[in-house]
Amino acid sequence: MFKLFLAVAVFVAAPVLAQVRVVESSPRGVNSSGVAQPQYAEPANSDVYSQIRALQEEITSLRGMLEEQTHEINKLKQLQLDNYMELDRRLSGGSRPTGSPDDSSTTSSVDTSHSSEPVGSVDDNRTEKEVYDAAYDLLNQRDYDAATREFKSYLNRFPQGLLASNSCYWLGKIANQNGDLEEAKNWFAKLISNYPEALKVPDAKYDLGRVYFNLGNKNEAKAIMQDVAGGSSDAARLAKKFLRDNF
Amino acid sequence: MRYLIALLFSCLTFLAHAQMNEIIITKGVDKPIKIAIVPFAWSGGRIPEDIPSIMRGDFRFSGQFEAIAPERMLSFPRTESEVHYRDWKILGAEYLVIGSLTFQNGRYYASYEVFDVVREKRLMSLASVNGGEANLRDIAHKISDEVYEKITNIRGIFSTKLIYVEAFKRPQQYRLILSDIDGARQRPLLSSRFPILSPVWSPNGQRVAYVSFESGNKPSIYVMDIATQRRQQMTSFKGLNGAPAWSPDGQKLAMALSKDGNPEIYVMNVLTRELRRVTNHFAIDHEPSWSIDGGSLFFTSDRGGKPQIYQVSLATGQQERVTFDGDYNARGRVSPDGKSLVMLNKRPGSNYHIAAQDLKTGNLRVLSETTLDESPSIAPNGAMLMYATRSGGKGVLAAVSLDARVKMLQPPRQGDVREPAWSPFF
Repeated sequence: MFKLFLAVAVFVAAPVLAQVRVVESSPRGVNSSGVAQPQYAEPANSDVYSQIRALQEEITSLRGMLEEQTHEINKLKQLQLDNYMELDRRLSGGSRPTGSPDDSSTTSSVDTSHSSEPVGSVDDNRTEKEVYDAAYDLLNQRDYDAATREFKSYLNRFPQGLLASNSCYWLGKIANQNGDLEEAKNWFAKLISNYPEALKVPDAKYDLGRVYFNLGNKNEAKAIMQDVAGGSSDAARLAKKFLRDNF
Repeated sequence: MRYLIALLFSCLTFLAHAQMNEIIITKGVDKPIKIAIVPFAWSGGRIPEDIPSIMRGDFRFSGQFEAIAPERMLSFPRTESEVHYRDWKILGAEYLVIGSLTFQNGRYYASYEVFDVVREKRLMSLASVNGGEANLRDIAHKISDEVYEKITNIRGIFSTKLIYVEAFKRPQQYRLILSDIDGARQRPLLSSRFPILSPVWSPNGQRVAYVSFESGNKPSIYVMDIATQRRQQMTSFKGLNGAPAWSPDGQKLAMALSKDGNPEIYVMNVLTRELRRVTNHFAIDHEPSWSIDGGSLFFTSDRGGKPQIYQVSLATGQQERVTFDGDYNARGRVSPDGKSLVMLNKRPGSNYHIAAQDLKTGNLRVLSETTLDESPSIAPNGAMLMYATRSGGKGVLAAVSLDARVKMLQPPRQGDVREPAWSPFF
């Protein structure tokens, strides 16, 4: 529709431009471009006209780039702020033992939640489930970069959330998909050590085994596959097959 | 003999209906809710419309329900005392609708009850709807709306309407058509040898604005009163007059006009015809639509080299680019909750698709998988949207839920169907 429109518009606009009747009924508002409507009453020749067209094209493409870069910068600023808040949260809560909560840990967690709340609520007050669902949807759409961002933001905000282990798992899977084996290894290992009770642990072990294998670390791979194969999960079945095929 | 003809006739009408209602669900929810809608008690002769059957179509159309076919039902209870929950549990039904129809003084009276099969209790006590013979489908849709809302807590859209453009070749003809949301009861509002474009409902559902060439060889914006089909020409500027959009209060129309040299966005007061220019740029500004609060407009512009959607505040004139994902974003429409912007999106190397962008996070979700999609129009409950696409070489209508979990295609009509516009609630 827009394309058709564009073609028609160019067709219609050309003679209009040539005659020039600039009716500036409302000059307010559009300050963003600062480019005045061309006012060339009688174009001396078509050369001027084509030059104007060329300049306009140049300006629109520059404007497009400027808009996109501004957008990128804003995103980066936000990301930097998020990272800073995350660092701040970790530093202030860093000494807290991860296991059993005691008095000091509860107070420190209250403090951190206070300090991070203003930013958190301004920029993102989605619930735990909403953040995870958004990330998972992005994953389903194969938008890996965005999915990675969302899963990480989930982990930042809900490190002890119900779906934190799953988030680690998908981050590992995405890294593996992107060929970043070290990163994949870290996520799977993090899942296994931080959430030992999680349902995804056998799957993570199986995937970690494969990552080790692809990194050339066959002994680690074999050990971890044998560990998984002992269970009764789907991962165990896959691990047995993997051991049969590769060792 | 007469009996035979009657039978033949009823078979034919049955076939016609079956064909009409055959919406193809290309993707449904993983676990649809099973609902059993029992044939209504009725002591009279043949009725022009089968209310429970229309309701089953409605629930299927929602994509969230599976309606159990009457052939599979073990009993046809007419009253609560005849309901045996066991019969319905065997079929896996979660909800049961029973009802009866009576005819008095030229009006049909339908009463119905809803039962929760799982909890074995009544969910909705006896309610009644009535209407003339021409309103039997309205009665069915009204009951569907009530039952749907009771079960899902979302307002039903089965009584809403659709306006779209149907184009015919040889001889070339364009028709503006009003129909039920399930495609039934198609009624032409306008026929023309020249294109009819961009129909949009006024917020009160009584008028439609559209673009046509009926006054000569240039496009103009018209407003039609749907009940009387009386038309009013709103614009006749030189150049382009396009893409009308009603303000939420129904008092203004945003539009794209090229009267001042190149396409810009304007806002017209419908009553006084007073015109105000909103954008001013040498690039093309087109396809305006209103924000929920009426304080700003979204529009498509190629001022950045490629078509993207921008937002302009009507109070300050401040403009801001909204879309960044993809090299083509156009025809933005805000969902009724104001949270998402639905648009036509194209990513590099991909086809044109319908996508929804979360206005707060900027995350974009591609909703459609069909090809050459265009003209998304959102249902007033914000749960679904209708768009035009091509299937089997023909322009057809397709629908998708805003969470992309349900997708469906409507059966092809005679001509090429374009530019659906979903009505507001009536």
